[in-house]
Amino acid sequence: MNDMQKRKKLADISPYRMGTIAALVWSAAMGGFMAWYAVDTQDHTEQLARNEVRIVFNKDLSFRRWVTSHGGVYVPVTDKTYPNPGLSHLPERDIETPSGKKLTLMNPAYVMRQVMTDYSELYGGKGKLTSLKLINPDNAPDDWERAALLRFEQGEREIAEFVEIDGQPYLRQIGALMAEKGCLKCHGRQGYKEGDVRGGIAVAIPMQPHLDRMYGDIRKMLLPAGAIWLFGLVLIAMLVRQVRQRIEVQQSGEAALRKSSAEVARANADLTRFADVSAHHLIGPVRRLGSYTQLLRKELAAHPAVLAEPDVRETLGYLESDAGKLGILVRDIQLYLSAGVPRGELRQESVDAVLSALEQRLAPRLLEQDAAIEREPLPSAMLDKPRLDDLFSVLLDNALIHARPLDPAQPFRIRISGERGDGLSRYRVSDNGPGIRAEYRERVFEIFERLTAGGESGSGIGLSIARRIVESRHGRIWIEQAEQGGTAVVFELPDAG
Amino acid sequence: MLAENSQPFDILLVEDEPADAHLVRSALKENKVLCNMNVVQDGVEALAYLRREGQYHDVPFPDLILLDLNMPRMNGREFLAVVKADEELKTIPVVVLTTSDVERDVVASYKLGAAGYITKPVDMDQFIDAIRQLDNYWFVLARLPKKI
Repeated sequence: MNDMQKRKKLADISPYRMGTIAALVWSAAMGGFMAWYAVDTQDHTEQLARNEVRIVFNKDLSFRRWVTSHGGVYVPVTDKTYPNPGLSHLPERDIETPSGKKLTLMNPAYVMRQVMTDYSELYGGKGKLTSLKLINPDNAPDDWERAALLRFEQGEREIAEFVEIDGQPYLRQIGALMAEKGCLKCHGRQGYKEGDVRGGIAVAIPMQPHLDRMYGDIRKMLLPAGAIWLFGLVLIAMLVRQVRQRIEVQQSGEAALRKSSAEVARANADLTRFADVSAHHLIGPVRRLGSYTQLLRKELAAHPAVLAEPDVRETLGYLESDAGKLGILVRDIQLYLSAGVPRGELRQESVDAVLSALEQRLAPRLLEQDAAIEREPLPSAMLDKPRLDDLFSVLLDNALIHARPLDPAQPFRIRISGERGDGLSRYRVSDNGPGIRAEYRERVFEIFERLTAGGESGSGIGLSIARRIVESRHGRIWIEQAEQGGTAVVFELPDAG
Repeated sequence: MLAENSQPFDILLVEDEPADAHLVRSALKENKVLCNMNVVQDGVEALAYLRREGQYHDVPFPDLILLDLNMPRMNGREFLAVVKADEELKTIPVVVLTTSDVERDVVASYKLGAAGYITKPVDMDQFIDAIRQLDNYWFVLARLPKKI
């Protein structure tokens, strides 16, 4: 498919369809943008939550480590802080200050449990120490923690997941708790060695606030995005309207043009037909006028006395002359009318052959006028033979009528030359007559335009016929000054076109 | 030479234009052709003539038909087609009189079985000459199939 066809194909799509396609593409683009924005906001929210849970986790871990690094901390025994039964095996779980104040040892888990109970809001999330081997049953893992602890046994060390706890979204993180020296003080009796996975520190932060913010962000974007989307749709609709209006204007213009050119063509066809029929109907009477004038002269030959009458002779002379002129006129009008269309196969015709036949036909006239045609071998011409014959015929006829040299001592010569040009054949019919002044050289191609009064045998149509033939083949014809100072009619017949 | 063929020939001229019919008659006279020429106006009448219908019940059967192409009712081409399809009539030579030298007319006429054609006169002398040749060919050189 070439460019032209592509463009044509594109032009065939109605503006409505183009508009629909554009609206769909635009909607898809906007939808894609919103989807990307939502995914990105979600990623961002998750990242924030992960950072937050990590902070809580690290805080938890560092606090526990601090407690562990001191082997636990002693605090005063109160209603809330009673001695840990899980540490009853330690000889110095409960001590007294010299002033008799009772202190008890708090292990990390105990510390953290108390922090969670009293300050969980402030702490930022639920922290928990859990293990598959428990000392305090309160620290028993839930299902998710149990699954994570089992995965730690496989070598994983940290797991963070978005899960639901009691129907609420949470981000939970659990990290493996390795048995350190400080731990073995209490957990050594459970058989742990340093470096064993002893359990996990789990923290969870509620995701609802994060999610609320995320949905809020997305909702906030919906309004401007929707506005932009609508604006785009309106713009597309307006464009479609514009295009459609332009197409309508163009189409109505084309239709009007087609209509008027059809009218012109019809009027032209009517006129041509009228001219054709007129000429055709003229032929018979004109022909008979000639015949009967001749017949009359023959009849009168039997009456020499009558024929000798000057009036009779003159009248008969004018009758014959007018009959002859009418005959030529009607012939040329017919030639002119048929000059625009081929009357035979359009092919490369031998100009030499056509001219040879033409010269034979013209021989009596050439002899009578003491004129000579000089020509060289000529290139062939792309034209049907009948019109090629007409073309050279009118040009030679024209030259024989108008181009007699002013000086009677000069021999009357018509020269025909020709050459091949770029995709065309060029011919030149020149004479050594009086020539045509530059300002008249275009005018003589007009129908009935003559430069000499009362030309005895020309119809004034000859050059118009020639022009019509040449231009119907998209060729050119014009007049130049010949080398001998006469007239040169030059014409070009393209091979194509 | 003409005297030897003293039996008069019958020519049927099918021509709607009296002025042209008169020219043909003049040319025959000019050539001193010994013949009877009957004129009918169009193809329909010509067929009636050949079939000796109505007013034509006792006309002589023609030795030659001169046929104009452009006529009202039944034109020359239609007439020629009918004649050449008729077993009794198709042996009569038909010479077409053409107005223009529109070649397709000529070709079409030969295709339909015309024996020849003459272009109607632009020049009277040429026409007289053409009629003389016609006379020589059909009435002197080629003996015609005699009337039934």
